[in-house]
Amino acid sequence: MTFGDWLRTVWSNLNRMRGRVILTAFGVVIGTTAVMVLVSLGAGLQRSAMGSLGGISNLKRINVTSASSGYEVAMAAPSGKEAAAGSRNRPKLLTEAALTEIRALPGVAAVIPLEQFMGGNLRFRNAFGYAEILGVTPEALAQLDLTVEAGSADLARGQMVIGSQVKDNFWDEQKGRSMNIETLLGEILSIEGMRYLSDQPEPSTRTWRYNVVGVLASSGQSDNQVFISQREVQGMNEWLAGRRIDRTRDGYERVIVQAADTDEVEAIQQSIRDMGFTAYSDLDAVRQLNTFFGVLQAVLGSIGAIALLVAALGIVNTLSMAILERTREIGLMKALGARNHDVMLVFLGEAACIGLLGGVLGVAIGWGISSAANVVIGSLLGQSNGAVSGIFGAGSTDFVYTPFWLPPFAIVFATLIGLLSGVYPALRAATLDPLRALKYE
Amino acid sequence: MVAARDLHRTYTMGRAEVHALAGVTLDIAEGAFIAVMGPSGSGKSTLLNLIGGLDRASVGSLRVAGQEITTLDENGLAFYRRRVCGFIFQSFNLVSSMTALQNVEFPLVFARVPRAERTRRARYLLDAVGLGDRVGHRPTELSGGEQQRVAVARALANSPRVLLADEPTGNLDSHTGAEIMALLGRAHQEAHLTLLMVTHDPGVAAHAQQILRMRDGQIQID
Ligand SMILES: Nc1ncnc2c1ncn2[C@@H]1O[C@H](COP(=O)(O)OP(=O)(O)OP(=O)(O)O)[C@@H](O)[C@H]1O
Ligand SMILES: [Mg+2]
Repeated sequence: MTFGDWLRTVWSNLNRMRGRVILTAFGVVIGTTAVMVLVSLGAGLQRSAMGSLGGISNLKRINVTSASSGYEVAMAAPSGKEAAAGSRNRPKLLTEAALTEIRALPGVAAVIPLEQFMGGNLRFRNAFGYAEILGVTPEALAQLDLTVEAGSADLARGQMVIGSQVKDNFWDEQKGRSMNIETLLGEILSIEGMRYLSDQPEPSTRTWRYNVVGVLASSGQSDNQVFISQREVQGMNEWLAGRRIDRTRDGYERVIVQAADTDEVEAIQQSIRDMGFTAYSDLDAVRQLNTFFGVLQAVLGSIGAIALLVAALGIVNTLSMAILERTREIGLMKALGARNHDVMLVFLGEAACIGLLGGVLGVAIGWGISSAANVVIGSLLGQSNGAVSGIFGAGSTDFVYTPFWLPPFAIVFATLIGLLSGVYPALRAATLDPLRALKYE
Repeated sequence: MVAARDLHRTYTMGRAEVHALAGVTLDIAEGAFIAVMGPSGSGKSTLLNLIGGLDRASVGSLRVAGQEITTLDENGLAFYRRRVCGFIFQSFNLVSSMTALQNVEFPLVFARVPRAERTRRARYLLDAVGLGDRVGHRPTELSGGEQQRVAVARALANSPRVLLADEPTGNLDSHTGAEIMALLGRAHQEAHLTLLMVTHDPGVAAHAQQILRMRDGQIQID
């Protein structure tokens, strides 16, 4: 039997029992639709969660802090805590020597020391802003994959480059609400510091004024940070501490290590921890989220797969009936010289075809339901305020998201289920005794 | 063409054994036309089915067209049926969902004959059996005699060397039966094939060159 004849035979046999084929395929349709919609729902949730973590460039970032610094308490990952505990007695400092050592690790693209000012807030007119204040070297912005959307990235003295969401985080004390700012580009932002020195009874304050010369494109991690030259922030910290700071000896409080590739992050992170520092990257969170959503999708997918298994029983039943009806025909085929495996392939083909038809239709319907769900959820969230849509992450409008591999996978899976359901009936048909089959009434 | 040596076919029904064939030895020359006669249950159909490779002998040797067929495996038997044998059944055994043309083409499907060639040959054969104007008819739209003509055309489709007909006129009136016999006689002559036919009708058997009589699973010597 040639391939073409096989196809024609399978098709005409299905056509002959059209009614039952449609009913049987309907079971597959339901199963496939369930797989499609549920896995898409899981994937949509995952994408939303990932979207809120920011872009891929952030995943190459490793935040390194000296195990002794306060920063580590808030941010350290579990394994970081162990490292911290081990080196508590003699905290290791992020000195220039340490940075050189980190720079030499394989897979490290850049080591960017950050001078962070934690002794004050931003002020714009009457409003307080709560952005991170960071001092960096001139080349750091480029190394961090940060680009300006407006203005320039020139961190000259008295100049400041800010993240895209900094403007949304100003609280107007007098009016008691957040300030509505179109753009801060070209405006003056102040940094107000406050220090308590042990030999002075009253805290003293100081204000630094900066020209906002650039606004960064949205990147996730740096959206709520402002950047000033490293030297100036060091000056602020010296004022805060009331003494001179020599970073090459005292060490930096925080260093960002940029990996050349996300694959390298884990190894680099481990090497840095082995050196006695605390290292944290978003990749840790992404890993945990991925594991969680992988399980979620598998669970949701299994619910659909169970529906498909029920459909498989339907296929077995339909084919078994077809064999009874066609027993004489099978006997005849054999008498005319059909091989066992010709007969088997015809029945397997019919089973797989029922699966395929159901799979294709199920994918189409699943797609339709997903799209409809996106429209409905989208319009519901559109009516309520932005706080709700924030759950789904910035910029993402698809709440139910169908990964590109899912439709082909679902179709292949449904076809495979059909094929497997056909194995037993097909074997039975193929091994019928031709004489008995011909005599069958 | 056919050489059987001490051929046995025993059916086991529970504890009882039925000796459908109990030691058949015979030789049939190539191109012979033989009618097999005998009382019901004497093993006529069993003999035909063994020669046609639809059933397996319990004991004995059976050579057809020089090939020992008792030792063939499933695929070997399928090939043998496809290449050597043509079957005509008492109850026609046409596929009801297929047209006359498709029914005649059916054996050629398993022989992997290309479609165009298949259709050409099926049309030619339907013409030859006088159904050139019925190619698109389905079995239910044909009379019994016409259905058996389609079956004859189908049996000839793969140019068999042995044509096996088990009571081909059994379901037909005598007039239609005579028409089928004329057709078989012509096919036997034109295609130079060996024809084995089981029948209960002496008038039908008279068409044959030789009559083989059976009783209790054995060939009866006159
Ligand atoms: N599948 C089978 N199982 C058991 N016994 C069988 C089977 N087929 C045939 N027989 C027995 O074998 C014997 C020969 O049967 P066979 O069909 O060859 O007879 P026959 O000569 O063709 O008879 P008829 O003229 O009625 O067709 C019979 O006794 C029958 O009952
Ligand atoms: Mg019989």
